[in-house]
Amino acid sequence: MRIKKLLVLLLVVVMVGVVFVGCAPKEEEEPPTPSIKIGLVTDVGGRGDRSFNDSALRGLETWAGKVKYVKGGGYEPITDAEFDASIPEDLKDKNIHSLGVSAMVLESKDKKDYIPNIATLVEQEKCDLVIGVGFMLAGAIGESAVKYPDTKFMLIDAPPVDEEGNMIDPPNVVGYLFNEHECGFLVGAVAAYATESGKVGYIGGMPIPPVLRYEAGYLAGLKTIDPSIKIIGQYTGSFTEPALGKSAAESQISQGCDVLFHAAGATGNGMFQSICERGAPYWGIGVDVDMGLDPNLCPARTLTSSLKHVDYATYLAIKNIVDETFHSGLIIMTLKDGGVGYAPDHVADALTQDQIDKVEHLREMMIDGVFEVPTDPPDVDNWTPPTDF
Amino acid sequence: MKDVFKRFFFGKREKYWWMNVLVPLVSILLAFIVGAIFIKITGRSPVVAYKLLFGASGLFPGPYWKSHFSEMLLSSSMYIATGLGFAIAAKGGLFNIGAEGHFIVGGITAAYLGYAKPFAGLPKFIHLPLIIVGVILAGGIWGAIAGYLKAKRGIHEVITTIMLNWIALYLIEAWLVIGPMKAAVETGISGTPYISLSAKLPKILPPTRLNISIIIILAVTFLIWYLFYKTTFGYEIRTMGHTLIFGMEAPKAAGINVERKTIQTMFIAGAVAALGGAFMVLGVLFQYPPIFEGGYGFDGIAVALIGQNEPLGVVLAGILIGALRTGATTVQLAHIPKTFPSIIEGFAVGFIALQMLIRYWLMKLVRGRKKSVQTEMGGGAK
Repeated sequence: MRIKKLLVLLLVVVMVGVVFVGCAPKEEEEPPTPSIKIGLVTDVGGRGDRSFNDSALRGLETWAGKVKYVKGGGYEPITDAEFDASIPEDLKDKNIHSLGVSAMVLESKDKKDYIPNIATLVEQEKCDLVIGVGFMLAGAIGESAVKYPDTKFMLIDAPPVDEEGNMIDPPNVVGYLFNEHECGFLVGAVAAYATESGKVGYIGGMPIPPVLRYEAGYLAGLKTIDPSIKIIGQYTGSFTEPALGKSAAESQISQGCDVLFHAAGATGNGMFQSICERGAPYWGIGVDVDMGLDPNLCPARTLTSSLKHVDYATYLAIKNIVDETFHSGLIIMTLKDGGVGYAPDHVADALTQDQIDKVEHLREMMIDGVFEVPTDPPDVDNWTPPTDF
Repeated sequence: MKDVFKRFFFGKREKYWWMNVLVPLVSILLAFIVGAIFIKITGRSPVVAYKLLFGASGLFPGPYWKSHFSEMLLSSSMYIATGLGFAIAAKGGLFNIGAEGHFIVGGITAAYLGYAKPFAGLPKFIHLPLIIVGVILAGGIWGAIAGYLKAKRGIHEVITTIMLNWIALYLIEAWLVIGPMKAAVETGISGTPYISLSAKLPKILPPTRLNISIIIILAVTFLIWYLFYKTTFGYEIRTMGHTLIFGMEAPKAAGINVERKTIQTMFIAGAVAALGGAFMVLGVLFQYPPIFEGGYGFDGIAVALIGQNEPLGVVLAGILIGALRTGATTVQLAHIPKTFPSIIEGFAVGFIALQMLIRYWLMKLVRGRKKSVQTEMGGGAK
């Protein structure tokens, strides 16, 4: 009895020992690190949100670094074919090529982590550029930029703010904003042509400025094509809960909507789930990235996606560091320079060629500055839509 | 010395009082061992992982120690607050899942009192204590609602505290933060306005952002310990906890107003947990953001369980969890997911749940197998 126990104890000790000893000598050789190092701090959404954070990571890891993330950690190089496949149609002409930088990504588990994460990237990893993804990092990037004047920072979706919440413009921060209302307008126009019931739905995450711009553009697009279309909109209050998105979609569908657009991050995944379960004639419209390419959502019933090229903005910011052409300030990514757009997905199946031409014409008019789209949803009521398209 | 330590530590007069310390330590150790096996299974090196984890945890001196140390204490103060919130209720026989709600109620109260006009102009030595009092009242009342429903209506506190968590969340995030308390659009800020300078917790270790939250929570912990072990009030609450399974008949028979004590216990629990939310807003975020997603309340349950619901134990467990979380982001440098320390935390709680078994083993080790273990533990009747 006693011996048996001793044996068990011995076995446990040996097993634990093996765990530690087995790996101790395997000090991995560091690959030769490229000269320029780019750090990125995600918001609490983190890697795998299929939208905003993943888009920024594509700009950094896939394009600028030409590597792919191995599930669980680490990078491996990708082939030229994979690299080309990762570039969306509307950016093919932008000459995106590998910049040979090395990436260091820190995810944040909590809002409190932003500043320590940035500090780790600046102090320990000596990154040349630190990217903060999302408006939630506005304060953290603002504070850190003042603390580390020798490091460059990039902030996506917001201007940096100081500890009192005042907007600041330090000489080492570049902020990228997007004209979400422009791509929202285009998917709104597509939705207006695609709907058969004359009712469309809108699911928002939280009413923060970028989401409000999406909504304003979407409403304006619908109004331009057909002012009689009824819009049922709703904010779920979350960017991370697909269940809420699903229940919102169910309720809108039960009220007669057949085309739904969401600007709600991962909450919107629930909308696609709901649409996939029903199939035709319901259409979903994706947000931020081309969700029609995502096999985990609902590629068969994704009408289009309003594209917001966070990946391209990230790539541009890194390119400016590599080319040593960094400028501080705010940069607004527009339809004109490829910062926003809409994805082709199933547009050709739902719309006639004539209708597609009209949407394309509206797109060109917007690029030429013939008309402007409102940025705040209440302004859409008093806004006069363009007529000759 | 032994006597003092034993009384200060647990206030219990058991023969094997040190068992109460040893069991959590063994549980944590086991959790680390299992964690190592997990890292090994995924093909990474546990040595590197733990080196990074503890190197950046702030527990041990090393490079960048000062900033890690301050981050650790910042996190710990919040975990201790929510851990105490659970532990206080547990002492009175109540299972309080509401720390998350109390935390955000404390946070929104601190944000409001921090920026709202009549208060924002006050000098710091008036403004800050005023906010703390406001937070204690708001969190306490939120907690007392569950206590009232339990005492007067007999609704189980697990149900009410969970429901009150959601009520608090949606009141705040789906109404207050995007409605009446929203920052003006021109400022470009999402969430509430930023709090005024006079509302910020003073920093004590510049250039890091460590502030007095850790001192406040240690003082509160001492008060709670004093309350439980040095006052009649605390004795009565503990009596309720000990006789929970008998429907608290004994304290009732002894003339304790159980209903009133239940409400008071929940008030204190809510108030302390709410302090954690205030620390977050007054010391870290300086506003209430549009999406909070804290999770501190639920982690507080783990902290309290590891700390055996004892004030000092909660402090130590809070520091441990705070250290794990501080080191957590750094393990990503070794390409280990940030959630890994949560796995260790989960295992630690799991082993704590097995504490009777661990206690039994330890007892056997200590006493040999000659005597019946049951009687040693004082559990068996002879």
